[in-house]
Amino acid sequence: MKCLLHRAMRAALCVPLMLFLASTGSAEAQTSEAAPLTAAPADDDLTMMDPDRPIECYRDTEGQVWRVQCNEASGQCLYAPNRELNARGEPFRALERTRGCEMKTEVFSRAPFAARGLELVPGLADAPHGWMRDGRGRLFQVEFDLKRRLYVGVAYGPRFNRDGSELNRVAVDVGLLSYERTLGNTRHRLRLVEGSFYLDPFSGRMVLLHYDLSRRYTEPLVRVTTFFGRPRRTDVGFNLGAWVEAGDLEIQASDLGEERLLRYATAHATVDLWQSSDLYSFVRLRGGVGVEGLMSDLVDDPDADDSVYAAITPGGAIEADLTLDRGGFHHIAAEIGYENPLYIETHPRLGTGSQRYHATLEYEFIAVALNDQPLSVFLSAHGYKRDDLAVLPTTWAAEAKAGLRFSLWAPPR
Amino acid sequence: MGAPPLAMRSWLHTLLAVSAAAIAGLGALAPAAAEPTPVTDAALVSAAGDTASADDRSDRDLCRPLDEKGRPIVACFDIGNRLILDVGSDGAGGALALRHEIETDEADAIWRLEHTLLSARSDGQRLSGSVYAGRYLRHARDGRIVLPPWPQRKLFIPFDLGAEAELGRVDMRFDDDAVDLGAVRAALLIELTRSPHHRRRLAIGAVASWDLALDRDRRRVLEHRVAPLSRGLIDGYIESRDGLTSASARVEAGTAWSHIVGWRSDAVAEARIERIFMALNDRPLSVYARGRYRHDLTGNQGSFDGTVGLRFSLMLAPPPIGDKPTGAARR
Repeated sequence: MKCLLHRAMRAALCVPLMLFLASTGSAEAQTSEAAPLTAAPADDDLTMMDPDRPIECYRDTEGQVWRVQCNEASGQCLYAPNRELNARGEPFRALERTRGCEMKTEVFSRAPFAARGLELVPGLADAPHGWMRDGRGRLFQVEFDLKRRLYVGVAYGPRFNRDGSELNRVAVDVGLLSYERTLGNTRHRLRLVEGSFYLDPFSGRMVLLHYDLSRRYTEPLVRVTTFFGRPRRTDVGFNLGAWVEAGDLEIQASDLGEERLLRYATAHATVDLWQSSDLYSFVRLRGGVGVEGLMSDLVDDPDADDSVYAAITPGGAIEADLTLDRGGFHHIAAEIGYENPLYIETHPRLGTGSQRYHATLEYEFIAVALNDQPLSVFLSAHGYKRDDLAVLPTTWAAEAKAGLRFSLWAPPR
Repeated sequence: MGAPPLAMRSWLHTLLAVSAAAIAGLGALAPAAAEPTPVTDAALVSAAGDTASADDRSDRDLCRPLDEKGRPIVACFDIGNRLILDVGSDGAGGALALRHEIETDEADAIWRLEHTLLSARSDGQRLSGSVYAGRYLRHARDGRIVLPPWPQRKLFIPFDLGAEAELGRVDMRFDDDAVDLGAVRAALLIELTRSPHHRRRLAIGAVASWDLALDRDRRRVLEHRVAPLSRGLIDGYIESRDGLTSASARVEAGTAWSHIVGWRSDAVAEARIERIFMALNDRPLSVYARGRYRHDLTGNQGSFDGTVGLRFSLMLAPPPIGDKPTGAARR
């Protein structure tokens, strides 16, 4: 079938006709060697060209450039216009993020390919890893790295106490910068100004600086060779890393006043029990020491005063951060930890020390992307038992949180 | 009544010239960029090349005119990159302003970043300022919403996205123990003009913030105020191509929760205008005016304050020559 109409009329009449034929399975437009090659606009289900295999470009008799990628094994060549199409199916503007292609001198037609035993099949132009094209050649992101982002979120966050009491609260989550990068065998993780704030009663926690690193050692720390029968070698890896936080402020308020816990700085050593091959995911143990100050202004607490009770705080945790899929849509973070502040000056209520236990589990998944910026849903559960803050129950308490986070940046993984 | 003294006449002339220039400058503010029209490959290449060279030539003419002796004059300023020192009717102040663009591995998109560092202002009785304020706008060639099931559903939308952040905002009086501290503030922005450069912006957004009222003397927190994305904003900015005139307007309204008094609503409207009227050794001197109206919607009380002043700027970047189009996002 050939459209011998004026260019504008061809766009208006022929393209929908071609579309109709394509959608109804007409083989004529695709298989006849004499037929002109046309784009198949608005067909999102076409096969996309492989971003890692070479592309050839051909110009047709009307001067339009086509991208072609052949697969000798399958006997097919995908072809797609080298320009983005507008809503009418007309070449409109340059494709975004295409690779260069080898420009061939032959006129684009089916015959030379047929002579090589190759069938030309409409396809979608290639896109880089982490991106896709629709039928018009428009690009959109389909992989996201939530480890590199700025985010703001809101959540519903009830608290359940063991005595049966319950608080229904709204929470705000903010992270001004999360940045992770792998350099060689080391994964660096930086987070700046990350926090969460609850309303009614107010409580909040904000960390100014977090940095940790995971390292994969190419040489095992210990090589164990056994000589029972045939000698065997077993490598024992010991992937040591570091974990540092500074300026971690936690505030718990009540009708009677509030208490503030400022963890000035905390430094832990880490041992990765498991690492994913790209170091995005890990399960690890960490332990170390921190310095903190506890301030209280509870108005009916006779022990409360303006003093800052400084403490040296040994602590440790087992934690996991798992990215479950290649596209970066599903994430699970879990942590079980213990801290034991040892007060330098005896605290009037707590004496020389206090105890803090906590366990957290969070699942976050990307639901929608706006302008390639992901909107994710997160669900978390947080349990704790601590005796350092008088406004909190000393028995186990649990908090849940369900909300939305909007992330900026989040480039493809 | 005799004629005013020479110095006063000079200042009056300057003031009149500045007013006239400001009005004239606003009329010449950058027009909206036209959408590209569909053209053929060859025509596109040719048109783009011609347009770019014509723009560059006109920008050179605009930014580097020659005087009657053939000496070049710096007539354009990148006012987003400067160290500001100013004196106004509400005191003296300064700030470090930076703006730039970055291209990430998303080659079809650019980020327009603006930063204001260590801004401070004082009239001897009051101190206000912030440690850091930033605005990050992501301009892409197309806007789109991609919906599940991945990645088959998408809607194409006509706006860019971005965010604002502010850390460590302080407002205090020296004769009072009360300190108003904005610990952290973040806003999500939808930029409607989809501008590929810094000179134009019209954004709407939602604001999340945590503010505190502190008692310096007793070292206590008097009040926590939290806005969980419960405040809305409209923010507009326009700057002339030569950077001599700029104007901005902003309205922010909504509710915030206080742990003392519960939810309260208020609205703040603010407008600014600045005009560079002369330069000393290519360092611009400008006049500015700002007006701000606050309305406590819960208490139904309003207040207005305004200021005018003189600003000296140490430029941190060479004057702009053209828009320096980069990447596909500019198309």
